[in-house]
Amino acid sequence: MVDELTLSFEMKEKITKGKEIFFSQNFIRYKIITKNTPPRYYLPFPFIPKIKKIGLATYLIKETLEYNFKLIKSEYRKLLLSSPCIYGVFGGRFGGFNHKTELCTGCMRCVLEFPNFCTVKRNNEYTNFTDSYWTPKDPNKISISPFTTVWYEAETGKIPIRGMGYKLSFTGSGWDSIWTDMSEIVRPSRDGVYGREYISTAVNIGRKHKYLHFPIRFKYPNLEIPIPLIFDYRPESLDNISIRKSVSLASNKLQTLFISDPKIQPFGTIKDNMIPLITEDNFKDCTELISKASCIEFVDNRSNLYERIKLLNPNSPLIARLAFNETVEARAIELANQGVSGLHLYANYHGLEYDTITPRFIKDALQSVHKTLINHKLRDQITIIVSGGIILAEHIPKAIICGADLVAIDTSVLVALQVKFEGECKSAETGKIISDEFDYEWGAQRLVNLVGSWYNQLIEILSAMGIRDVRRLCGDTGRALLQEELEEETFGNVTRID
Amino acid sequence: MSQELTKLLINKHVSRINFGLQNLPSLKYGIPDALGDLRWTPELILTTFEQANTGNPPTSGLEYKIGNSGGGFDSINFKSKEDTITHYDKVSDLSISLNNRNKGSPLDISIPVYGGGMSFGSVSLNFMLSRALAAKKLNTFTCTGEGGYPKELLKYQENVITQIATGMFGVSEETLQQTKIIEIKYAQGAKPGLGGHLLADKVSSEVAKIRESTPFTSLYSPFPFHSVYSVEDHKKHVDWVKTINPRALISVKVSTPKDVDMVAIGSYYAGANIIHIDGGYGGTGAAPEIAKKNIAMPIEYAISKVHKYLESEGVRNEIVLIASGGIRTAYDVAKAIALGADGAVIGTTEAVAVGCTHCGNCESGRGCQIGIATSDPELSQFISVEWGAKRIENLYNSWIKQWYDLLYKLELNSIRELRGRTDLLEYRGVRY
Repeated sequence: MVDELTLSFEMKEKITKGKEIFFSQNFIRYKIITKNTPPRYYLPFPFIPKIKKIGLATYLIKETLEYNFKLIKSEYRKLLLSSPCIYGVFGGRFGGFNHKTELCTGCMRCVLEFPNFCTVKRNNEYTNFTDSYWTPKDPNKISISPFTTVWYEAETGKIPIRGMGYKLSFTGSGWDSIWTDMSEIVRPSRDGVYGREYISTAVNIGRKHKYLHFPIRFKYPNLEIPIPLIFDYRPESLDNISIRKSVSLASNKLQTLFISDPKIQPFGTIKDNMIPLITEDNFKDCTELISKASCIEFVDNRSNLYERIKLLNPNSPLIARLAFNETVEARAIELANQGVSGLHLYANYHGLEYDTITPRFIKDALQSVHKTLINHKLRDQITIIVSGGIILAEHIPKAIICGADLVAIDTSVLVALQVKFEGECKSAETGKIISDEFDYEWGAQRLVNLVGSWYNQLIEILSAMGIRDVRRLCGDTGRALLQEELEEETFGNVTRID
Repeated sequence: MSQELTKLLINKHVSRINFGLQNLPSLKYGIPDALGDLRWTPELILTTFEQANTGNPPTSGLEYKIGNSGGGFDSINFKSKEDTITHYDKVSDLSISLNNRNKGSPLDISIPVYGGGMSFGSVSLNFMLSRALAAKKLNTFTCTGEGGYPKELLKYQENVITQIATGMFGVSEETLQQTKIIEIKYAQGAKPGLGGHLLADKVSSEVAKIRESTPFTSLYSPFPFHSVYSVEDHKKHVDWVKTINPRALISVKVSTPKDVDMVAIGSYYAGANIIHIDGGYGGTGAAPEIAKKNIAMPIEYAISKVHKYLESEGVRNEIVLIASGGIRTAYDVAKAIALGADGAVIGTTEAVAVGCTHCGNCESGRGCQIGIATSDPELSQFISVEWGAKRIENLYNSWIKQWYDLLYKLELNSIRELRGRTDLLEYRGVRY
């Protein structure tokens, strides 16, 4: 009989084939290599400066008369033609008569200097997106949205930085009603931009033991990935060959995993990063793939599918995929008792649970499942993956605080790849894209950039808390500041008015 | 370019900017479409311009008390008497004490606000000097921020707080000894737990010299103080500062984590005179969007939490609680005090008074187009010290009138009586 500890290492070796060594016993610091990757389509210009030509001409005539004979000197001519814009909007040959809209940053200096003939309008097209979850409620009042943020991150791989404070709503529903904590002084050090001490973002996928056995024997299969993020399955209506290849290649570069329909064969050695999604319908055709996969996800249908998959491959984590709905807590307990390695709980793409009249947002449904499993002494044994409505960097630590071990991202992949939606993309069942093909290496780098930016932002959040291992954050609502609680604490005794 | 031409160019643009600042609030040209955001609405920006022009509360009819963020200060009203008449002439006591301990000299300021730290390098010297001159005229303070102490500030030293932050830029015995208040900055609201970063472009020769570093090299302020990992370490820090300047009051600036109340009480026992809590929604420099929006609680919640805890510990009257981070108007200050603060620190509003449009381009290219958040030698001259100081002074004179009116309507004689009076507030709840 093969020693179980040895088996565990063999399994790890198996899934590292074709990749950089990330399960090696020799420690290599995890690093995501980002590279500027220009978009296929550029965003509309955020601001539209408008100059009344008659007003400008009148001003120039007036100024010419004012300087009069002094204009013989060239320096006075420079003075006459000096424009108010430091970003070069009026820097072309014809100055304000043919200005460069693309350079406008909305600084309003031209409006301050010449309110009588200069105006700057906000371009609503800049923040408008076909899907309401990605569009701000007040696009005419702000110049930032989830979708412009993701485009920026996918292009540059950088953390979005701006000056002069916070500019959006005080709070919001969903993720915006949580703030993460920070530690003022009591902490060993920090990572972030200074990189002195390593903050681990590695997470495990697989079932864990209730308690340690001595001598140590690992009974359950368990994988480690260096970031708490994998790519979720997309239905055919939201997929094409370019997207698939981009996701596969990006998973490989990022040393993470992607969930995929098994009938779609990924190319080359990248298959090791794939988590096949097994259903009752495709099970029979996938027996070989199941037996070789390093991790398997199956759609929970209350049949004996789990047992059949386990017979074929007892050495890989088996994850049950189930939707957030009214019965999710009860079913989660059943599956955890049944022995699954983990649960992939998914909400719709707007973060709402399925099949209920008043759907809970994913953060509330997730906290409920997490607490229920704790109450049944099952939570520590299984991995929870969540997806649906996780579209910005801050949603990852917030989801982990609410009880997830890691997240799977869905529509943000499409947005990063600049794939256009057909109207609302609220769920896998109803969403559609306008399919177009693109260079998958470009796409993979866009996804690497996106995840690189999110990784650095996760490090920032963890370092601000003084946490050196993302696994410690799981379910730690003590690290969250919840709006409902703060409101009650602060304004509970204050007279309420409508 | 000759010096004369540079001067002419600057004069031309300064006079034009001033034209806009004077005329835009009149709405003669309408409300500029792309101005402002949900927190700093176009109305708030224009009315701040107007107050800085006139020294009086706005008369244009635009909203000047709240923004449109849908929560916090924007959802709080005062339960004042139904009275549409303004009482700007009903003088009341607006002074607050910055030393409530038995030890040390008493130190009062005439208005319940002082200027927040904005470092030399992140903002121009002329803007710093404008703030210092205004503070002197108003008998309050401004703060160096973490960029050292330019020699030009010396003549205002009675009104300048010296900040010690984690990068220790420009911190010396001299700069600590020449001040009445020393602020130890542990964290700032806009980037709690993340330290600071002055981009290489802004580190000019002058900035580098004062900060004792190399020109055009990015400067990082780490987080946290690497000598302070406990309240006991913090006390050692305070003792060290007091050894250098025994006369100085100690202010401790912190962010707003979940345990901000514990941090406050720790600071009290370490010997601080002022606990300055900085919420996440303000900030004048560049910061990661994720930090501003998501890390640590908004100041509205933190004030109440700290005030109540210090009261429950029986030490509230011995330590001064100062709030900052998203306090934009005279009414925000009054609401902060009603929630439990003694006073407030103002940063962004002073910048708006001299022409900041809240565009957020502070960190890009040459920096601020108005000459505030820049070290560009030409742009820096857009603000003359006297002109900038006058505008900031005007702004506060307008606020003083609004506080007189409010206190009169609330039937209070002093701003100190307003502290913790949540019974005078009404709350609409959050909207989104």
